[in-house]
Amino acid sequence: MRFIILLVVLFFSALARAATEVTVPVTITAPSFMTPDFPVPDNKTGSFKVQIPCDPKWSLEVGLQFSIDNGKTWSCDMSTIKCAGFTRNAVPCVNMRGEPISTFGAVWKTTKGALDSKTKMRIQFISNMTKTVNVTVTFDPQ
Amino acid sequence: MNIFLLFLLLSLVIVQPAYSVVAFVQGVSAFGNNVSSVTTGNLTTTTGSLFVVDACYHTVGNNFVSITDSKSNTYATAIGELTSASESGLRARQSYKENGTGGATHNWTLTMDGAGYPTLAVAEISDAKTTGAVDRTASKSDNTGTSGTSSATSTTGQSEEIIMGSGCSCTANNATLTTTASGFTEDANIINSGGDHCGMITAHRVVSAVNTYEYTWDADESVAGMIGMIGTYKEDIGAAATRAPRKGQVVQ
Repeated sequence: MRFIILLVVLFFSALARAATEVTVPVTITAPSFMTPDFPVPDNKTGSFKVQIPCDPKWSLEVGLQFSIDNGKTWSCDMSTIKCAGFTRNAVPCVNMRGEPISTFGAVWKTTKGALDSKTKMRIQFISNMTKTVNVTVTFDPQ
Repeated sequence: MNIFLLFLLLSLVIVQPAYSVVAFVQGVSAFGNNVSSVTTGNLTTTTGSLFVVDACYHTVGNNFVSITDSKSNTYATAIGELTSASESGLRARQSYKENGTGGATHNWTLTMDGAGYPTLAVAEISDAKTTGAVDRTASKSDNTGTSGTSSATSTTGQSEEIIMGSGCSCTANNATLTTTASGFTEDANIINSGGDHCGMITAHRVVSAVNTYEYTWDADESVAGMIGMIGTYKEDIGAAATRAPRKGQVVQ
C-alpha cells in the first residue's frame, strides 16, 4: 500500500514539474504588434522560451512583458526601455552547421526563479512585415 | 586581572577565523538561436555591485559587437575573445563592471553584427573591490572529449576572492555539462542543443586563501573544442572588515 502511495506521489510530482507549452496562432502586423496574454503557471523556479517559425525575409524585434497582477499592469514597454527579448535580421534559416531550421527564438533563465510571482506574459513585436504564424511559449519548471 | 583580559583578547584575535564577505547575489541567463541579439530577463540589483558576464556565441561568419545593460554600465574585458581551437565560429569572453549602477529592471544584452547563436550568463557579486577587482584569469580553448578545464590561474594576489568559472560548447548534439571543480556552486547551466544554440555552464567559489584555482566540468557526450574560462575577483577587504560573516559564508 505504501508503495502504491509512493508511486502516486511520484507521478503527481513529476506531472507538476512537466513543461507547459502553449501555441497561439497570431497575425503579427507591421510595424508593431502585441500578442494576447499567455497564462504563466505558478512555478517558483524555471525557464521560459519563445519559438517562432523562421522566414529568411523577416526582420523583427521581440520583447517580453510580464504581469504580476493578472494583466492590470505590465513590466516594460519596448518603446521606452529594453525588455527581455531578442532581435533578428532577415537572414537564411539555418543553424550553425548550415542545416535548415524551422523555428528561431530564445530561452530565458533566472537563478532565483524566472517565473516567480508572474501571472501573465505577452510578447511585443516590431516587425518589417505582417505575418500569420504560430507562436509557441514554453514554461519549464526544471 | 589585566593579564587575564589581555590573554582573552589575544585569544579572540588568534582564533578569529578568516572569512570572506564577497558573495554571489543572483544570476540570470539567456540564449538565442539564429538571432543577432538576446536580452536577459530583469533583475533588481544594487548599485556598487560587481557584475560579471560570461558570453559564449557562435558567430557563423559574423562578429561580436557588444555587451551592454539597461543601466548604461560600460563593461571591461577580463578575458578577451577566445576562439575554439576546433569548432569554427565558436567564441567566448568574460566581461565585468565593477562598482556598477544597479536598480530595478536591470537586464543585459549580447549583440552581434548578424545572425548567430548568442548565450550569456550574468552574476551579481556583492562586496567586491570597486576598483581593481580583477586579479587573475586563465582560459583554455581546445577542450575536446567528455571533460574540460579553464586551466589553472597563477597564484592569487589576495586571500579573500570570488572565483568565476565557465565552460562553453556549441555544436554537440545535446551535451549536458556538469561542474566537477571542488568547492564551486553552479549558477547557470544551459544545455547545448543540436547546433541550434550554444551551451554554457557557469559557477562560482568564494575563497579565503591565496592559491591557484581551476574550473573543471564534465560533459555527458564527447564534445569538440569546448572553451573554459576563469576569473578571480578581489573582495573589498576594507568594507568586509566592518561586517560580520553572513550565514553560509566560507569560513576557513
